Amino acid sequence: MLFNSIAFVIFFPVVIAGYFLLPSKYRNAFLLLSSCYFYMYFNPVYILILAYTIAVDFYAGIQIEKNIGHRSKQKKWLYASLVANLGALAFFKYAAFILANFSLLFHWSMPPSNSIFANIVLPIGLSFHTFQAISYTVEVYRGKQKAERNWLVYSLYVMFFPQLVAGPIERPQKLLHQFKEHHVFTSDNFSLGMKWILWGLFKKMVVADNLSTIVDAVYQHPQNYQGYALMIATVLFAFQIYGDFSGYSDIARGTARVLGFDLMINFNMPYFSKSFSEFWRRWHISLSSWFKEYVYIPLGGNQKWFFRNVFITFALSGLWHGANHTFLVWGILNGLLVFANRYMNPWFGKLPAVLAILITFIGIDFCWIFFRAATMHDALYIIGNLFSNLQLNSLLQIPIERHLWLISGAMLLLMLGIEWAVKNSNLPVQWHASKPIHRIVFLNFLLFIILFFGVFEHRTFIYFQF
Amino acid sequence: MAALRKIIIRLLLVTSPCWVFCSYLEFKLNALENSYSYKMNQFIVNEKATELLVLGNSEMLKGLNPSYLSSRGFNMAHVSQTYSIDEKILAMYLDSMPNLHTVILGLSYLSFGENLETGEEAWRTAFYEKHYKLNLNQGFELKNYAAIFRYTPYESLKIFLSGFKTNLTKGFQPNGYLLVPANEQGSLSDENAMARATAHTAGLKESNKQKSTEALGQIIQMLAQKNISLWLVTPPLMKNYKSNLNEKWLSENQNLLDSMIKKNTSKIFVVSPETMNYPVFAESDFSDVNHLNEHGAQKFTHYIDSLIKIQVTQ
Repeated sequence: MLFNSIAFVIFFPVVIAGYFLLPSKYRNAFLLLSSCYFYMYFNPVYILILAYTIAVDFYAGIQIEKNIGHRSKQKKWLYASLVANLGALAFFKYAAFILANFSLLFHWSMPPSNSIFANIVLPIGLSFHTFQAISYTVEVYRGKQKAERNWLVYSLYVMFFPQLVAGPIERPQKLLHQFKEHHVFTSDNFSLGMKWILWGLFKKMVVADNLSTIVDAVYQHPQNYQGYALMIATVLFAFQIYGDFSGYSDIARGTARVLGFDLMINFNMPYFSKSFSEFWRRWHISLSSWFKEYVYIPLGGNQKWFFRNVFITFALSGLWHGANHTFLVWGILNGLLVFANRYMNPWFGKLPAVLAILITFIGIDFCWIFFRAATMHDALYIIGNLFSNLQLNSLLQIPIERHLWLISGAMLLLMLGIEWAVKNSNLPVQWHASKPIHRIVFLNFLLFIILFFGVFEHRTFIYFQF
Repeated sequence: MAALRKIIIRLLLVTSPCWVFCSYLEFKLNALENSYSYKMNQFIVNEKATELLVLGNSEMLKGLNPSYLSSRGFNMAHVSQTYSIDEKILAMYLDSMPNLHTVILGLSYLSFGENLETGEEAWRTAFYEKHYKLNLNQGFELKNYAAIFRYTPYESLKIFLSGFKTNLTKGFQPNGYLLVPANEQGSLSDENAMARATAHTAGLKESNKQKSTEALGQIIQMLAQKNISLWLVTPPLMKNYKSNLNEKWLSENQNLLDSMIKKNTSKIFVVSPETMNYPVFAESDFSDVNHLNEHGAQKFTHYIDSLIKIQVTQ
């Protein structure tokens, strides 16, 4: 179910009413059923994958805890959990990619187009809930989290619908206990949650979806364009993906907040970062911190083999996003930027803030070319033609009506302007704390903007594909 | 629950400026005449007396003016109107036209390959649902219930900013025909013709053929049962547009049509420039590369009328 759909507009009030009307002991069961319905709205069969990984991880967690003092047994259960989770991920997400690469390397013949490998459909949100599940067993193994004995609570930890399909990827210490608490409906939670939702919808429906029309027009047929058209589409994609994904995260946070739950902040004005490493501390924070905690630091962090560690972490991060060479290159390039950043820090620090922000943006945006391009061939064409035939009238070749350019530009500036003005990504919190008259005016202003400049075609969220 | 009730009331109150404005806009938009409501209102006035009905897409809407027909006609064609819509219009309104003896249905390059319900012009379906009362099985869509979404919120705002003075029925005549004045000619250049033909070809989908064929089959059956003649008519096109069309698609359509006609013994007449001696259409007869203007429509309607008269006398 999409957050920006009519189905969700009906679903969410039903969940709110049902959750708070039911006696406490039935609420988790109701929330789990609602989450199942939310997930099954996309593809009912894939709920079985979730059920399977939940069962394995739940049991593995208990066994790891039972075997305290027997490190080898604990390890066995941890591996069992990792194999179950990563195995599902490998099969559904990477099987076709791995086979294609092997066939290229060793001249194997590819499986026929009607084979099971060629027709695997990626279960929605698989990468997200797999990583969240892994963080649970690893934390239990590390002794930082008690094994959960209530299967309902553990199932909700993985399946809580606001963050089920595109995060934030929560840690058990932050989320698990919240399912054991008694949540009371409060007007404070409701109005703050609704503000997060509205702000997220603005970012998604008004900023990202309007920009996507321009970006898609160019990136679907990049060979038809050169120079400024490619540049503008690449710059706009940076803001499209930010509006899309941070919008989703805000809606998720708001939805959870209305029900009395607290999810982590996933974005913190990333495009105002003054260095590449700062960008990665502000962009998709829940995933970046996951890779830091479970890959980068165990590899040695910045103490030894810094380049290797950064390289592996970012290459894996790239592959996490998609089974495609473009994502791999995107990850590696970002790793190189972060590596270079370490040695450029003294120099970067002396730059005026605006210049540092601009350089960081250009570097990050360059990498986005690989993320957005459908193939490596397209990405290389775009890079090769970014500076060719630099004529402003090349923008006129993009088949977009003038009003859409104006709306997209104005709304992008509005979003960045507001974020710049409040100096952090907690706009809804500041909005919530402002004077009543300001609250009401801004609420109506935002509603008006969403209604009249939003895209109501239920466009999916970019990160749903991961 | 009292808290929930209280906050919902408060929410409605604080957002009231937005809802009041939307309600006002919705009310005014619903009162606004558009081409669909105008055509339907005119049709209701004329339905009992209608002897000849024109159906099809924009080529027929702008290409056939019932004022120049010997019989009393009404042009029910519209932009991007597919056979599937034509069939639903006939199914809905055929019984309300007791004097109908002829239906002229457009036979265009796009006829078998488009699907209004899923194509780029899908927004038009809501107007058919609202004003023509057609059931297009679109499921729950906001545009079927709110004028703001039917016109799209952005267009609605533009209409509001124009003081609701936007003329959405410009050129539409009481007989349903859309008159394009001769002095409002678009580009007839070779480049434009090629671009248009390419865009039209890109919009054609093999998967739409079945639905269109079934709809045409239904139309043939419906009219045969009532002994009403069906004229499948191809309006003239500019040469530079026609030469850029996909020949294979055209011949496949022709074969499809031939096989359908062979199966039926009812009164079906096919009029196309390939099989008939059309009068000469000059550049001054076109409003753009595939649409006639008022002069072209007059010439073409006279020609079709003469063919129908010959058939009637035989």
